[in-house]
Amino acid sequence: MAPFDISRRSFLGVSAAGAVSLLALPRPAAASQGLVSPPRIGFIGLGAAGLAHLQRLLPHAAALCDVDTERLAHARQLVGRRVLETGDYRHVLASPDIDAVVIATPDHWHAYQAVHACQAGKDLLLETPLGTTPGEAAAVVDAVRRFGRVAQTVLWAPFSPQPDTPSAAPDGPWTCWDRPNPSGGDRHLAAPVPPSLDWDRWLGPAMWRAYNPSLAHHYFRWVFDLGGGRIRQDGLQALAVAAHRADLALDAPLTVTATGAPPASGLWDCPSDLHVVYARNGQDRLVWTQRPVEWPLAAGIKPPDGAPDASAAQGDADQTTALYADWLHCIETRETPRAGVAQAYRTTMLALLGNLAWQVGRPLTWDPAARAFTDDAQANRLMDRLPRGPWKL
Amino acid sequence: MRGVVIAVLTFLAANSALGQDPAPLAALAEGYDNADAAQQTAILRALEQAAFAAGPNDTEEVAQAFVALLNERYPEPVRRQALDGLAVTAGPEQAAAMAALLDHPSLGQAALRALASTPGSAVTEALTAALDRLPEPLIPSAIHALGMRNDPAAIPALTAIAQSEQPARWAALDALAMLGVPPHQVFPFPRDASTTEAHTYALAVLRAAQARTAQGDQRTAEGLYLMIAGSSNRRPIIIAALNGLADAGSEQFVPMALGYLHHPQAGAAVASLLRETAMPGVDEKLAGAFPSLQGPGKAVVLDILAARNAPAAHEITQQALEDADPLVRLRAQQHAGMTPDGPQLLAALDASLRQRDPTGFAEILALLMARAREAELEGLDAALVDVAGGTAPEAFRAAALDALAERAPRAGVSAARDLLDDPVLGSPAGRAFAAITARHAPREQAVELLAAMALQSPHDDVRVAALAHLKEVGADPAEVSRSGGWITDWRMPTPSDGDWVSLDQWPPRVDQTGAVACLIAEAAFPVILHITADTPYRLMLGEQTVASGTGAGSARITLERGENLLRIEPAAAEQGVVAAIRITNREGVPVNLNTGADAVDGQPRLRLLTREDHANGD
Repeated sequence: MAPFDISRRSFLGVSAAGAVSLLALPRPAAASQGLVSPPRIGFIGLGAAGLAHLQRLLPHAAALCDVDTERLAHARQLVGRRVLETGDYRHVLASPDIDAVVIATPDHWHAYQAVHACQAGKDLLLETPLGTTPGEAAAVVDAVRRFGRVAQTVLWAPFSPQPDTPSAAPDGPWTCWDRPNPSGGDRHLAAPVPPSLDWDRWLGPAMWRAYNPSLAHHYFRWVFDLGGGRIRQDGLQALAVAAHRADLALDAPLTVTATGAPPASGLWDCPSDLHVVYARNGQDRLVWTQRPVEWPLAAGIKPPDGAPDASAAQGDADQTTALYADWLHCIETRETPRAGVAQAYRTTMLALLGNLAWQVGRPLTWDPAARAFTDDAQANRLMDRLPRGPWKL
Repeated sequence: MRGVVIAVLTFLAANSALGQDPAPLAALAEGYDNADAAQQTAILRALEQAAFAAGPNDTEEVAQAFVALLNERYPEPVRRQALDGLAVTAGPEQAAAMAALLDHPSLGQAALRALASTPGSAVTEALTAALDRLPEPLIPSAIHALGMRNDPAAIPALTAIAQSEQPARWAALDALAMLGVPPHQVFPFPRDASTTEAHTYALAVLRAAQARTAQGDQRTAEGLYLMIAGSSNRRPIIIAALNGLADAGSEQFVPMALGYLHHPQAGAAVASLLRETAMPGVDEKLAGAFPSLQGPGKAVVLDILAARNAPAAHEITQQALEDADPLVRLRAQQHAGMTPDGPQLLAALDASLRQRDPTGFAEILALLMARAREAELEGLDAALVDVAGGTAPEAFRAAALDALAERAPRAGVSAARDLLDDPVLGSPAGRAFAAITARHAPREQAVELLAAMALQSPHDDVRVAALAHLKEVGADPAEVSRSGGWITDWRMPTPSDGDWVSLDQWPPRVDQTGAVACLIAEAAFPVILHITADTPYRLMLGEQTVASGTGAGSARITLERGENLLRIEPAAAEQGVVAAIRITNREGVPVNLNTGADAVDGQPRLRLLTREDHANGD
């Protein structure tokens, strides 16, 4: 055969076999340590955040998963080629053709899907918070370490162009703020479950409740035991930056005091004006507030003696690029990503502690060594929550 | 009624010592049914706050008040809220009242959750006694609750379920593991276990070992970790077992980890674990094991010792400079700050290939390629061709083909060509072949081959590479494609002016709005349309459907003189379709669709309206 002769079957023919091969899903060479193929990624949760991740990581997309078939169809259009599609994330985790997963589901799923991904040997990019209880957050950290996974979380703080060092000896607390939590939602709104949505699977480990459009998709954020309000949503980014600048590590007991009034009516029950003070050794170190302030509306931070900064907590394009690049790099090198679960654990815990202190209506002292509240058996009963159905950590 | 509720709520707000006088709870509950929506919300929130109002330690009275609200004369939302209150206030005395609701169709789950967080062995007894009568969906959750409670009193009941044929047996096995009972003490690993069951079994061993560690029984925990590390071939299980051994300070950790350094899936993570573990004595153990390791193992241990700043790293590196294995010598040279020459690198590449060391191979190949970008490196192309066309595992051959795609040596053409149809290596082979073709084939032949690859390769990356190479050889990819009969210019109608599909997105994906191509015929022209689609499609000529189906198909049509509008759309509204269409004459000869191009002998001229025509107002 002359050097550049190739069989017509391969390229030049228009036979049925040749034509079908055009659209066949190519099988990449087997990944092996050292000879690393680009990671094949499964996307679990395809709402706004999931689609944003998908767009940035499109060439890696190998599986799509959502409990809403409409969202799956939308993502399919975006990918434009054949990949595994399913409503059950366990199918993604069971696939040997998937190396890593992006988890962008409602909060009550985060810990379960993250722990199961680790157990299945998948690396992960995880939306924050790590979980909805301190027990869930700790389980994620433990699983990542025990199963040797590379886990990046969506926190912008480690990719900030600001110097990556805490402030020296601040005089007074750092403050972070966000807008008040909205009120609304109709507790009695009866509506059929949309045909595209698997409601039982959307709820997963969360307590069963009837479908209500005031809950899903977006509005679960404003329900205390599901989304926990802004402190566990976008405000978490501000909390992360402020905690870092205040050098507030979870390495010694921390006393948390929270106040705020719940909405007078409606299904959404997060306090509209949550105000949390984090203190150590009697000194206020960090304040989270949703009280109306004269500062800009978007979440931000304010140093003890400086001006408010609404940009510090917003991830820009460079930070976004750096976050994905860091994750992909670490998957290859097995290094620990910059926004790993240790950073996310601190931020998640600060948010959860604020909410729990508000829930019990008295100051709580968190003992990180014991992973428990000091002298408060009642609060310690909120550390874990029995999951529904077959789900477990 | 409204006045009563408001008065009670005012009282609640003012009196944080509600728990000392729980009577208002009943008054609130009584008013629920006649309250409006806002008042109902307020009542439930007041009940919620009441659970915490008495303080952390004085919950008995308020718990009793919540028990009173479980009575069925109260509305269901109130009873549910009372169960939530009991979840943080109840003691063993309230266990029976909560357990009585376990089989309630809508309150059972809340009752279970409340019981799960209530301390005391009376709760364990109530839960185990209820297992037989629980609704099916609650059983796994109740079993899990028994595991979470960490009360050994549940072991007999859980063991009975685990040893039965009930669907919940695997949940019981896991709950037993949470209590420190390893699965092999319950039943032997079933030979017919499904993949999921095998995974559950292995995770249960790990969970039992964790529980034993928490119970202070390090010896049993170590035995369990050793057992699972020695018997599993699954990466996450191996790593977790090794982590457990390190946590337990086991003497077996380092030997066991060294044994897994070259596990195809776990090796990198194991190396990372050895680098980062803080377990005492690891440096000495690694240094002691070094002389007995094979080449790739030595290379990795050199890296680990260096990364750990181990005291023995320098001495071991000096030893390794004299090692018989070129791969080890190379790694030692790097750690000693020396620069290996080309022949040394090639020898190390060969050694890593023979030893099937993918990490070393990739690393050395990267060094060689970097060196070759700066100066000609004799022997590299021959080595790459040998690997690509040889019998090494696919990952090695794929890496060699990737390197050939960059270097494009003429010597690589046969190796790349012969692998074009390979299901695994077809992609890197295609890229290599495209690169070599562009550089060395006669231009006319190169254009034909690259156009075929750009339009027909099953691999996205090959199509993209071929398009780029077509431009490199001075050809217009769209023109070449149209000359081969490919209908390349499709317009997707949009409210603005329509989106055109370009070859960069080939083959085109069409959503439910469909896509249109315009063929302008000089005269009536009988042709065949060859269609390939991944999902059901419908192809129309004007208003008439001329083909439909999925996969590969064809349609024999006659184009009319003048404009002929072809429209492709997905057959199912919610699906898109990826489709490629080529046009030939009735003898199967591709029709040249380029404007003004020479007609095939005896046939009328046909051209495709292009994006450029459209832009020019044609």
